[in-house]
Amino acid sequence: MTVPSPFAARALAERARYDAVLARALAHGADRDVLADAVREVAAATDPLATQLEADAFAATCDALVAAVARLAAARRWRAEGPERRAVLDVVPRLAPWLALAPAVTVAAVVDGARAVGGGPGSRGDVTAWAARVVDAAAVGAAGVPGAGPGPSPVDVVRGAVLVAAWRSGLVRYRDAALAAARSLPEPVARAALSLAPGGGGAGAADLGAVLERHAADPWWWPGRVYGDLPTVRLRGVAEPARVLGRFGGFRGFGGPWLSPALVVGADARHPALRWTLLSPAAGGTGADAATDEWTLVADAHGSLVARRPGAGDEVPPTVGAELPGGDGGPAAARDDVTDVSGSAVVDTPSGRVALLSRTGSYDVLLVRWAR
Amino acid sequence: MTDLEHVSSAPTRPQPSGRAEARDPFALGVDDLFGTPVAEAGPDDGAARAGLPLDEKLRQAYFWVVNHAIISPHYDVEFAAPGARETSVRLGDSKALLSLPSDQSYSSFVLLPLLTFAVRGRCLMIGGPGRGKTASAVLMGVLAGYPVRDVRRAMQHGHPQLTVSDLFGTPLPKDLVQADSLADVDVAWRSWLGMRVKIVDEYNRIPTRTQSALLTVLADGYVEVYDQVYETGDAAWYLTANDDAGGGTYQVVDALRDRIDVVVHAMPFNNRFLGDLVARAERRVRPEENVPPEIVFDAAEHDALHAAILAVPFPDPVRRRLEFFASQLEVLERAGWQFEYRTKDTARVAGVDPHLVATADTGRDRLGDVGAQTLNGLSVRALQSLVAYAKAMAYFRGNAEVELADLRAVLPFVLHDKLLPDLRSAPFDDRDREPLRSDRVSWIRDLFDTACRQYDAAGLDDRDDVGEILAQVAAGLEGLPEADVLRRLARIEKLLASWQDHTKLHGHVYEDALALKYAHQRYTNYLTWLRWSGT
Repeated sequence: MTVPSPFAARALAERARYDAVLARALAHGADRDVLADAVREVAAATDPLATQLEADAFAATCDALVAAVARLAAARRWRAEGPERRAVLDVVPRLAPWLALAPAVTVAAVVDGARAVGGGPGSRGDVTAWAARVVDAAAVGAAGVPGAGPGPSPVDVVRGAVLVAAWRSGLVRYRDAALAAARSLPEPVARAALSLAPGGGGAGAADLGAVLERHAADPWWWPGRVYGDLPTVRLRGVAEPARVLGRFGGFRGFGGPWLSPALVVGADARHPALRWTLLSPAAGGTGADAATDEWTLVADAHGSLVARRPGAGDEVPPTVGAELPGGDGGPAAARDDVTDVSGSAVVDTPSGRVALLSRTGSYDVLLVRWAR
Repeated sequence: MTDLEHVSSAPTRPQPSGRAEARDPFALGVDDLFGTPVAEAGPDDGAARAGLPLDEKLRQAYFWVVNHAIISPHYDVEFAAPGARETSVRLGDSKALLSLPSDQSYSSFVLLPLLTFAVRGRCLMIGGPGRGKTASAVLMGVLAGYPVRDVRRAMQHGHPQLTVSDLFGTPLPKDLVQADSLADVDVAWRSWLGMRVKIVDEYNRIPTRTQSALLTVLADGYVEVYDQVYETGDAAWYLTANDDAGGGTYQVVDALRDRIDVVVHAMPFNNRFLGDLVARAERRVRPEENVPPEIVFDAAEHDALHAAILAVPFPDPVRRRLEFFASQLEVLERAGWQFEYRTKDTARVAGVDPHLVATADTGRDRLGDVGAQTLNGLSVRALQSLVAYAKAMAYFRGNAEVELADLRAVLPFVLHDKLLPDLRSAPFDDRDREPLRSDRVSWIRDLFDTACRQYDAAGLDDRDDVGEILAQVAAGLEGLPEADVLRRLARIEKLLASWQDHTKLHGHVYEDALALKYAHQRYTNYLTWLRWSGT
């Protein structure tokens, strides 16, 4: 007689409950074969956890995974290359320290996080880097999760770390929440989620609070971050070459947001060097009288998002410095490298002067920085 | 079919970023990332943990019902985004207009019952058999947190033999034998009376006597049997009827009809969605048994929801337009001799057909006069329902205060059975307007739109002398010197005199004149007292 695997043993013990969960998924639209394969895959991925977790925690992990798989299959989100499937099969089994403390929350948070980073509503992040950061944060172990008493609960630690890792991996819309979470997390967990090496010298060894403080004020500064591999451009009125920090936007036909080159009209004064305002002709509009859509670029050292400003036209955010130092705002043939600037906005940051440039001959907008 | 447990992500109605109450779309938080509720995280996980406002939860409930429960919704409650281009096409020989709304629009058959749930009003759902009237009502019961089985058990089915005891409960037989007085007779009350959602199916099949008993519960919130009184508390009522035009086994008592706040039509099934129906049957999916807990309102939330709706401001410009519209409906210049009695009500009470009286009045524009199309005016109850539902609509749409569009959206459903059309009046003879004889929703909306255009044409937003005079009165007369009183009296008399030769007695003029008479009386009485007291 063969001994059932740990997952199978749990499934047999809870046969009625698991049957009900799976039947519900089928009733809600899950494909029978997909669901069966998913459960088999989860069983194989989960079994190694049986030796790392207490019996109760392992049982709760199995329950949470079956519930997650049922939800994903019913919603047709259990796909071969899907981020959620990858999270369930590859990431969750490596989070034993968290599963020991909060199994259901860990499974749900990782699945939700994977969906957001892997292409949920809003910007897309780097799923591989995010998964590595989550695993690193969990590897800090129980030492990173305070017991009873003051400090964040295990639920807050797990969710906070997943959130911080998501922002650090590209989800710029979570920036404020992630900075707040990073401040409240135990330092080893926060450092792991942020990929900031503790101790040993180097930029990452700086006081975490100071790092977060400086980055909050200067979105393009990050310990150890150099932009040396990106090209430089020369701008009229600027003595030294300006370093390109990033290119954003693009032609819709190639996956970008715009049908016509956008025009930079300002920087949001409430979020300096982080949010920028642009205009682009609305779909179907041509000619001088065409309606324009207002767009917002949100970008920091870790990620970016270009999106239409909802309800644009009701209120224009306060903007600052819309001109390059030596320019007149019009087409700038005199500018050395970038010869077709159609609009620009300049903001001072502690690391230097940052400008966003739109050009008549490109669908991309350029973010550049030079020393003041 | 999608996952039945899926609740639409917040925000279901993103607000323009310029609005104070709008969330910053570029700054998401922890709760946006972790949408999956987890029991382990605590009892408040999920929507409550996320701190979702109740209006967001209400919208999520709406979209869940539309997406998962009611197949083929009709988006007949249309809204236009400010400044947006409206797209429409005209189809068929009659050039039927099909609009593609630029703002989030809704299905009245789902939305009005949901607003009824929110304001704990009384909703009548009409339409042929098998169109989802009862299913929709049951869903509302489940949204209130009751198990489906309890909701079904609590539903009262109208039939010709339904007695008062069947409906409310019976006295205990033991007490009937032993009691020395009625007060000693205990009554076994039916459990449905205490529920926050009450459903009466086919109410037009209930005998007249039982209807009268039902009226007391519906209107006053208590039941009396054998001297025992049961307070039923606030509740949302859903009544269904196959035929609203007097069909059914028994004629519905007028007073009962008048207590109904809104009337909605169950729309016919769109056969393009037959596939969904087949899939649902094959999978044995019953939406009412799978309502996600995130959209269920417990008693405290239900109370808070109602309180939040009551707190939505009803701004003066919107109120003024409603006043203008309502004032057009009651006046009937030749129905009375004394000024105050020149109303349709005077004619109706006397048994005179208001249409005949209106026909005798040859001095008005019968096509332009909104009041000429109706046989009655609006009751206070109708106006109260209008205000409550307009507030609920504004709250549902996430507006800080009631907008004209909110009022316009609910108006036809609230006044559906409260405004009687004069089908013999001239506007209905117009060939283009003939469909309005049967389409009461469009007719009422057209009445309101016409009244709003007249309001704009008269420039009443810019100048409101009567409003100023009434505001002065409302501010109080305490300490007002005689000279000021005389000045104000003169202003009233001068204003009325200015209307003598140049103004027809339209509804708003009639009501303004009566309001001025009221103000004049207040000042006259005060002046008399002032002179008597020698102040």
